[in-house]
Amino acid sequence: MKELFRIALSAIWSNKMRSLLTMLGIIIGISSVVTIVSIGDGTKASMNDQLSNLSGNSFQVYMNYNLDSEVYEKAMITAEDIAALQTKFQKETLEIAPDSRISGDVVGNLEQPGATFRGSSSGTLKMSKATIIEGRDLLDEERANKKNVVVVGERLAKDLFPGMSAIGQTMFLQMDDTSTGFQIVGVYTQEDQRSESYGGFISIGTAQKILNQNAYGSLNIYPAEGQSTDVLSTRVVKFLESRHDAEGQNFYRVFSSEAALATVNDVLGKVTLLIAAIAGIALLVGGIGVMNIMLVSVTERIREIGIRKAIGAKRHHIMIQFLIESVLLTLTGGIIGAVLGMGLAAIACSAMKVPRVISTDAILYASAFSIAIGLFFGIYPASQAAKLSPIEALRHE
Amino acid sequence: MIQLEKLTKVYEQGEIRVEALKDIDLHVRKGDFMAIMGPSGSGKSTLMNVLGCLDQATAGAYWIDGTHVEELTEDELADVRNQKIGFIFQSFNLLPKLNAQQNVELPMVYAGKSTKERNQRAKKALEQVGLGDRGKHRPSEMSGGQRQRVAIARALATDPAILLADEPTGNLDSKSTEEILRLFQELHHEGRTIIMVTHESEVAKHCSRVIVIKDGEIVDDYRNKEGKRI
Repeated sequence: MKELFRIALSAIWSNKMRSLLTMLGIIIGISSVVTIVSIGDGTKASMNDQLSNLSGNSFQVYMNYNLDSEVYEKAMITAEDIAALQTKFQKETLEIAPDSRISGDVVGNLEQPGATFRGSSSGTLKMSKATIIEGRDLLDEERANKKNVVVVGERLAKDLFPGMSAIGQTMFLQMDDTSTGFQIVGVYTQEDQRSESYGGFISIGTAQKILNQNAYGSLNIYPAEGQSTDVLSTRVVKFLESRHDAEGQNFYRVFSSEAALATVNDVLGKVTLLIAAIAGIALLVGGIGVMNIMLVSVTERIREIGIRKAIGAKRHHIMIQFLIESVLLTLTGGIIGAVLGMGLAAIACSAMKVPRVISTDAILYASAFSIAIGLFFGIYPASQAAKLSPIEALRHE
Repeated sequence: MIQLEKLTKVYEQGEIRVEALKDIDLHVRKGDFMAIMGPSGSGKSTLMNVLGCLDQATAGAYWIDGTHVEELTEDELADVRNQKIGFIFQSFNLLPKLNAQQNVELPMVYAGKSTKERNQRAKKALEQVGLGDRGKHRPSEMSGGQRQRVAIARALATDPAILLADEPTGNLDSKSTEEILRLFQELHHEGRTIIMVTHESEVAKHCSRVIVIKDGEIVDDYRNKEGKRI
C-alpha cells in the first residue's frame, strides 16, 4: 500500500504542470462551492441576528390595513380589549402592550432630528435586551402618574449632551407645533448596537396621553418562558375576533420574528443551494478533466502496466495504483480549493459586512467530496488499466 | 518441472487463422539449461510467452512445478508469474523512474514482502549479478549489459522455480553478451532451471539442451555434452 502511494506520488510529481492544471478544475469547483456556502451561512447568521434582536421572541398582532375605514374603526383594539387580554393570558405572557411610538425632533444642548420613543412597561427594557448604563429605569410611580420622564439610548444621549452626563437634564420632544419636556432619568445601551433604535423609552401611559389615543392598530405581546408563539398568537387573534364579532374575518394579523426568521432561512437556504448547485457544475467539469487525464496517463503507461503485470502485479494492484493517483489529485485540489474558498469567503463577507461563519466542516466535507470525485472519475481509467492483458501491454511501444 | 502436452496456440484475425504452436509436447527437468532456437516467426516467442504465463494456449495442457496452468484464474496466474517464474526480456523492461534496487524489489512488493526483507534480498540479488554497488543508479545511467543484469537480479528476487529469458542478449554487444551468458552458466551450475530463446547458435552452444522450432513444431531436441564454457 505504501509502495502504491509512492508510485502514485511520483507519477503526479513527474507531470507537475499537467497535474496542476488537472487539479485546477477541482480547485475552482470546490472553492466556489465553499465560498458560496460560506457567504450564504454568513448572510443567514446576520439576518437571524438582526431579526431576533428586533423583538426577541415577541410577536405583534396588527390590524389588516385593507379593511374599509368603517370596519377598521370598529375593529380597532381598545384599552378594554387589552385589559381583557391581560386578564385572560396572564399566565402565558410577560407583557401585552399596545405598540405606541412617538417620533419627532429632540432638543437638548444640541438639536437632533428624527428620534423615536416607545411606550414601555416595567419589563420592556429587559425584553428589548437593553441595559441601563447610567441612572435608572422608569419607576412604577412615574408610570402610574404618567410623568414626563425618559430613559434614552446611549447614542442619542451623547448627541444631545456631548461631553457631559445626560442624567437630570431636560430634553424637548417636538412634534407638529407642540413641544414636550422630558426629564432624563437613565441611559441604556442595547446588546446589538445596529438594532438600537435612535431614541428611548417613556411610559405607555405617557405615550397614550401625548398621542391622545384610546384605540390601537397593533399590540406587542411577549410570551412567557416556554410558550409557543404559534399557539399563543392564534388564541390571541381568536379572542380579539370574538370580542369584535369578527370570527374568521381576517381582521387581525400576526408578525413574529420567529416566523419571519423561518421564511428568511428557507429562502436563503434555497438560494444558496441553487447557486452552490451551479458551482457544482464546475466541480463536475473538473471531475471529467481528471478522468480525461487519467485516461491519458493510462495510455502513456501501458508498457509500464505490462511490465508490472509480467512480474506479478494483480488486477487490484494496478487498479489501486491508478485510483490512488486520481484521488491524490482531487484530494489535493479539494483541500487547496477549500482553503482558497474560505479565504474568498472571508474577503466577501467583510466586504458585505456580514459575519464570517467559520465552518471547520468545510475542509472536511470538501475533502470527503474530493475523494469521492477522485474515486468516481478514476474508476473507469483505473479499470481500463487493470484489464490490460500483460502480453498486449508489453508489446505496446 | 515443466510439462507440455499437445500445446496449441492459434491466432485468428478475421478469416486468417495462424497456428503458431502445433501440438507441442515438451518436458523440462529441474536444472535444465535449455535453448529454444528457430527462425523468426517459428513460434519460439509465442512458446516463451505461454511458458511465462503472459499468454495462454488455445488447447493442450501446461504444468509448471505441479500447477496446472489452464485451471488458474487471472490473479492466480499473476501469482505464478510472481512466485514461480523469473522473466528476462530482450529489451530489459525495467521501470525507468525506479533505481536498480527499487526495480529488483518490485516483484517482492507485489508478493507482499516486508520492506526489510525486500531490501535485503534485493541487495543480495544485485550482488549475485555483480552490481552490489549500483543499487542507487537508474537504468538510464547504466550500460545495456548492466541493465540486463539488473533484470536478471529482478527475476531472481522471488527465488523462482524457473528463469525464462527471451533473447536476453539480443540487444547487447559481444562483450556484454559474454558476461550475461557467463552469469546464466553460473546460475545453471547453482542448479537453476533456465529456458532461453535465441536465434544465435553461438549462444545456444552454451546451453545443456537445445530444441529447435520450425512452423510451430519441435523439429529437433538434442543435448550438448557439456555446455561450452566461457
